[in-house]
Amino acid sequence: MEHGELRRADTRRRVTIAVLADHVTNGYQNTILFGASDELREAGVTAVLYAGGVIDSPDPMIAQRNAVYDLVHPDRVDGIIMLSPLGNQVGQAGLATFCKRFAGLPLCTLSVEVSGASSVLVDNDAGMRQVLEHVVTSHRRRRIAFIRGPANNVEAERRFRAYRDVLERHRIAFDADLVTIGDFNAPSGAQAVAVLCDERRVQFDALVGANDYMALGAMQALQARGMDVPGAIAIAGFDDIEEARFATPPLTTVRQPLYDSGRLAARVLLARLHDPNEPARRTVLETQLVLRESCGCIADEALSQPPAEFSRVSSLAAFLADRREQVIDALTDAVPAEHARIPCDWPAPLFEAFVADVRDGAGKRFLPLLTTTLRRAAEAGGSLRAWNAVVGALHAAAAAASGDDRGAARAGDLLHGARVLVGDMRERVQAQHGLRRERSIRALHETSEALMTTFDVDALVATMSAQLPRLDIPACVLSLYERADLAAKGAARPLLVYDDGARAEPPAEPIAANALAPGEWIDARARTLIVEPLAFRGEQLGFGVFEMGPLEGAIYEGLREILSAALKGARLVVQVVEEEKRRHHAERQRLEEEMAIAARIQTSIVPKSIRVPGLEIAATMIPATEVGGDYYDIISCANGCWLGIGDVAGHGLKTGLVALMIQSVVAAVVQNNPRATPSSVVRILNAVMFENVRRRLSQDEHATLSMMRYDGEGRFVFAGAHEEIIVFRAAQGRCECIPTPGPWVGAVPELGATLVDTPIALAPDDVMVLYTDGVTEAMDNAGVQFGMDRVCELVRRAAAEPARDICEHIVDAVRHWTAKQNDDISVVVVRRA
Amino acid sequence: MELANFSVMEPGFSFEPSHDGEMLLVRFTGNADMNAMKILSSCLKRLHDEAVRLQVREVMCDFTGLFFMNSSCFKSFVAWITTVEALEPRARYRIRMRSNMQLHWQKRSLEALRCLAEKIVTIE
Repeated sequence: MEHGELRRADTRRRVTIAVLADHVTNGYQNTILFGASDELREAGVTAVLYAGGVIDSPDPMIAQRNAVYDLVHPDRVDGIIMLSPLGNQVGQAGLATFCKRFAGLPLCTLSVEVSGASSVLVDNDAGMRQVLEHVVTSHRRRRIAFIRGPANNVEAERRFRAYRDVLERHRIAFDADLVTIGDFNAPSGAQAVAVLCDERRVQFDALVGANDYMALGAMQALQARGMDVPGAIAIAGFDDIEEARFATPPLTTVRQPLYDSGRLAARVLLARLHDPNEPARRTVLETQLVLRESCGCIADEALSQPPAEFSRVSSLAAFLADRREQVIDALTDAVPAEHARIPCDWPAPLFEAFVADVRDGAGKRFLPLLTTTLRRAAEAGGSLRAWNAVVGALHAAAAAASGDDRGAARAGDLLHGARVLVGDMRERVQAQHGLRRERSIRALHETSEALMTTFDVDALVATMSAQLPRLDIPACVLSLYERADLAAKGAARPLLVYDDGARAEPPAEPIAANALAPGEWIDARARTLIVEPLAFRGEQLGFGVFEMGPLEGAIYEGLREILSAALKGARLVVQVVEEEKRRHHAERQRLEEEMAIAARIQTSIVPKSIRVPGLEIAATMIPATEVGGDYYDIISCANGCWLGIGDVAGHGLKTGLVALMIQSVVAAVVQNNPRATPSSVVRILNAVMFENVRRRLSQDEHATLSMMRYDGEGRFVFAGAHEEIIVFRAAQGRCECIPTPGPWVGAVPELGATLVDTPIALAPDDVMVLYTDGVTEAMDNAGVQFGMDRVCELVRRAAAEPARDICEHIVDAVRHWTAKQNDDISVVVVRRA
Repeated sequence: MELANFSVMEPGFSFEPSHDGEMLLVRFTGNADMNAMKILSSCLKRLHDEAVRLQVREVMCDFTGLFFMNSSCFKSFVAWITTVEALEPRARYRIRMRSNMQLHWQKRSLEALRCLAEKIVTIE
């Protein structure tokens, strides 16, 4: 490991530290995270926050976020900082088990100890004792309710033990009814009040929460019930979160050096990275009692405490210079590090500038430097509220001396100017924060609205690209898991790669999910990233990596929820579309299979081998679609045969079924009465067709049909309207076209007298051709029909060939003529031997 | 309804009705293929409605310019003819078909149409 901009010696990539927290939306976690990320950024290291919720939370919405911890991997991160609330459900032992997955990676924990890992702790015991002693001794409270933290939290347990110890020390009987259990969140503080007042109906004159959130929640609940805080009930908490200062009344609490502990944890970890032989360190930081109005004290800031003693001096500047270290310490204490957020070397120059201006009266150093310092703090995200205490500390120092009236006057002017400056800048920064927050909320709302109507991943990505600048998020990678069953342990496919206002093309290949981003994206610069899991009702979809722009964690959590829902929606749409396609495909396949069956039936039922004494017969049928409407049949009978040719109007399955109906009826009729007249067969068929098709099925199919009976010796008789019958007369060497008069079958209930039987005689070697209009009406690309003349010419030229060959010639010629077969083709060729 | 309102002039097929005293005259031109099937069916239905409304004695179908009709289009004519046949005798009108027997389909098929309803349909 090399110092400077820390890079791994083996891969040269920037050192990356994982910070594991349950969430980033409250002051406790955020202050620690700011400390850690500031320290890491100054060291040129990238911090990656994995905000995956409490481990094994009973709340499924939180539990599904735990999957983000699976993304923490030695290939991506070089060390881990872990906050103790992760273990609020599983306890210290569970946390230790959880940490086993990170074996090999340097680990530093905060507020909890894990074997083998460094830890940064606070003296919970001393801190809680201090505040409880204060409540008992300074405010004489004896009935002190206590809200414990989660049962599995080590710090919570230490604070509760301190409560019991203090009670015992002051001989106050322990009353279990005064103790409730919370979860460190504000609502559990309000719930505690309900339990104490409504269920247990206990009286108490003080309430101490194991942390500020619960204390504040309880305070609000008590005030809502009309109880006087602190008059009737003194309240105190633990942590000194930002909200404690702004509560009404401000909350007495124990300040944890949250920011410093974050910084320290980062420093300890980096030291171990630099020297792997560096042993694990355990550091315990002191806490500080902060007295405010909620316990009954008056805030220090509101008091104008007179100095302990006056000194008579001739030079205030010299007096101050003599107390340089003391005053600088007071200035440092005035602004806790987490509020300054700038390197801690600011007090000395400020002090020097103040003393110089008091000395020479020019007034050109202190106020400009204070302005610059305040601007730096504001830009670093510090709180300017505490800087009033800087003015207070300088005032206190200057007020301890008298005798130098001119110096005192200069000091007074400077301090007045400083107060105005701090006030103005605070107001401006607050307004800016407010505007920025409003803008972020508006941008989040717009993002939510835009994504709500997006059901397409590409559109989602485009929307996010457009919204990221509005959200002040400088960089982002959104990725989907390749396999839901592997999720974070498998591969992920980046959908959006965005940095510095520009989208980059996502890689064509998926990445290992624990890489978090493709290529060098993570290592581009030292920055703080936050990884949010994208999941919907337990289904892990992917994750988002955001460079922290706005400091409000709620922005990232909001994006997490919005993106998860939008991605799930897009996935559902894809699934529905895919399902519809599958269903449609399955339906189509089913229909095709049915059509294939019908086609097989139709082509199987036509006669293949036809032997009739005295005749050479060949026939073929080629449907245009899977099932055609053409009909032909050759039915042997004693002394001859029956021939039929016809065409059901239309195409497809319906016409094929009607053709099969014709085949069945005709076969039944002629086999029952082989000597029937063709016209009678056609009439019977017409009656059946009209009844079945028109009346019963309410369809409108009709058919052309010619039925022909062969009686031997070349004698045929036919009836029924179809195409003209082509007869090649061998003796003349030319074709004759014989009309087939009469009505079509199936259109009207009865066929009239126009249906007649007509004889045809074939001499030896004469060839008769029956066909359907798929032959004569086949069109070429220019729209010209194949036509009767071409058929006749083909027959004439091929007349001496076997019937099978004549059949093939006709079919081949038609197929060659037309680019696409639009109608069924049937041909029957009969030669009299 | 004005007859001109349901005159159809599509590329490849046209249907132009006109009224002359007790006769409706309809000129068919082009090709009555699959593309014309739906239009033809609709036109024949409206033609029949007009013939009944106007109480004409005859409808003359001029096929001399119609080069092709496929079997699906024939269904529309079959439907029309059977509808006319089903009318009360005093409401029934005759259908005259002016043909061009040089066109194979007319030589083959118009006669079959006539045979469906000899008393109504004549071929010229």
